[in-house]
Amino acid sequence: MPYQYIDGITSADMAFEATEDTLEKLFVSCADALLGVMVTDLDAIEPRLERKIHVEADSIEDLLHDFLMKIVFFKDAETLLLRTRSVSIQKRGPGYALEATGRGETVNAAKHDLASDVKAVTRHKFEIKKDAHGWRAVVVLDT
Amino acid sequence: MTDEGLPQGIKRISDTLWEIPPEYKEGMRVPARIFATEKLLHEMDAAVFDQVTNVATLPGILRAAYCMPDGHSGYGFPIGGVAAMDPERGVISPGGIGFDINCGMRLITTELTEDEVKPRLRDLVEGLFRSVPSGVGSTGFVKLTADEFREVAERGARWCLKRGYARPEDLEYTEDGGCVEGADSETVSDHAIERGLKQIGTLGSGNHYLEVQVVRPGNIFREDLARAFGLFPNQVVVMFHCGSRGFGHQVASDYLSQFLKVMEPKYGIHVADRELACTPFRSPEGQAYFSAMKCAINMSFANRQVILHRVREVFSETFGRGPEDLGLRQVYDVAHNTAKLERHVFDGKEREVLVHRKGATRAFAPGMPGVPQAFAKLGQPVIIGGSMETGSYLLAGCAGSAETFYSTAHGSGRTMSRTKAKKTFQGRKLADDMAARGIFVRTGSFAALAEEAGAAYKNIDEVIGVTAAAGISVPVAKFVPIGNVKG
Repeated sequence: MPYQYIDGITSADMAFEATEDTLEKLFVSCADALLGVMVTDLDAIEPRLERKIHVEADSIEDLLHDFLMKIVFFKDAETLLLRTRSVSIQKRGPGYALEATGRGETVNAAKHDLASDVKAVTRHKFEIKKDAHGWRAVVVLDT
Repeated sequence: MTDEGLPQGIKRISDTLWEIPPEYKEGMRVPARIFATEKLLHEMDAAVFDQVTNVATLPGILRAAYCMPDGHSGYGFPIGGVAAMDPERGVISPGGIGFDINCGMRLITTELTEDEVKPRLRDLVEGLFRSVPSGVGSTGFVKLTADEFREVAERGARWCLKRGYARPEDLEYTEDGGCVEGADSETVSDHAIERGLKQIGTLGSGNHYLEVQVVRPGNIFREDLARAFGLFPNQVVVMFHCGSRGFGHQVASDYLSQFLKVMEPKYGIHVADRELACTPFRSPEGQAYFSAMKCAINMSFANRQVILHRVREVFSETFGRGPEDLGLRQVYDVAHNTAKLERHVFDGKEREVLVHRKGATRAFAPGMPGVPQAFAKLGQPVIIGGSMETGSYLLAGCAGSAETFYSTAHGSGRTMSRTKAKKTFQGRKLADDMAARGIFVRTGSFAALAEEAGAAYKNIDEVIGVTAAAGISVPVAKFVPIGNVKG
């Protein structure tokens, strides 16, 4: 499993750790981990609608933060649960740009086994690092 | 840390108050003071001590960084954190308010007794579950354009009055009259408005709830105050806990991101924790956030007002009588994630201070401006929620909390993580156990319900006991739940 929910960081909310061999796959796994807090079975989200996701940020940390916040935004603004199967990350000037297509459907309590709502992606113990095995991220979600 | 897991040098001031001196950590400008019994103190995780002492390093902080007895680890500030700043030399920090700006509590009395409600309890709770949407992706019945939402952000519960969702007395018995002045919707992003546009009249999820509760005779501690607040033995009351939903959460995120970019390069402020990001209160960024925060405070008051409107409709449908006939009067509505400019006595002189309360409740004493006229001799009502299994309290503000800038606890505080609670408890079994004990729960998510098990929280009676013993609020009555809506 590319991500797991971890204890010992927050008592009030949810935290996850994700590890992947590429940065792009890490972003996808982090998005899945975030969705997995809200929906028990991600495969129950059918790809009926799509939304383009574009994020620009000065740092990789901000890029991941803002990308995950887009998933949270669509959940509230359009009641959409969006999964991303791939992202593209490019250097743009001194910063970075991300392009992705989120595919999913409207929240449906009868179909999706709903769990906790996510209010925000916090900066608490927020970490995204490259190491010998690839990439690792730790994210705490306010739920 | 000591062998017992407490900060080195922590001093017992009394049985319910502890102090970590400024020498404990470099940069502390004032001591950190924690209201707790020794037992509650030992239940607090190390992050609480780290966070409250980090708060003590913030520029312009006055007197002490406080932690209430329900304190537990948060982001930047501990939950249960109170910090007052000099508005001219001090900072404003979104971490001192929280992502859920104006998360708060509202208490409604009815003329109904437990015996009258019990035969219709299931219908009542089902009706409340349908009429007050909760959980992931929930949307409310109020349809607004972005411009209309901006009006809600600026006018709060006053907008509800115009739309027929409020009685004038509802606003009178809401903190700040349900609308804080100075909320300019130009300071909130279109993104935040889009995010919250469909959510007015919704409960949210997590520890948010709508409960039908009872005043059992043995649970009235101050008969005079209880009667004055409209309580009587065996009475059914309604209490709900929710906040500013996606709108407020986005406002908080937007400004936290902005503050992180300007804090060091523009203002030379360094903080130990990114979630303590701040700017000088009087800076353009600080003032913009203060205004945007007020927009979220107002939207949350409007949200709880619309929920009250729906509660009145459901009671009326269930019991076949008008809401006026059923009582359904508001006792009070309190906010527990805010920053407010207030006048307090400091070093013998009255002055204006900026009070951050994050998971802490304002508790004004009798006679203070801001307390409704009818309660002038009683003190401001304070509503503190326990877990869904244990009950909640009504208290009154009192003069003893002058030290904490008239602040007290807000809930019972978690002792077990959500991750662990999900593994330890099974939602359906929990609901069945509660039903066997006379509490009918209606939830959209048994997984989320498991996280809210009573055993994951501190003992509310103990938390309330500390606020009483420390003299920062006066317990009036306890309410036990019989019906519950959870997202």
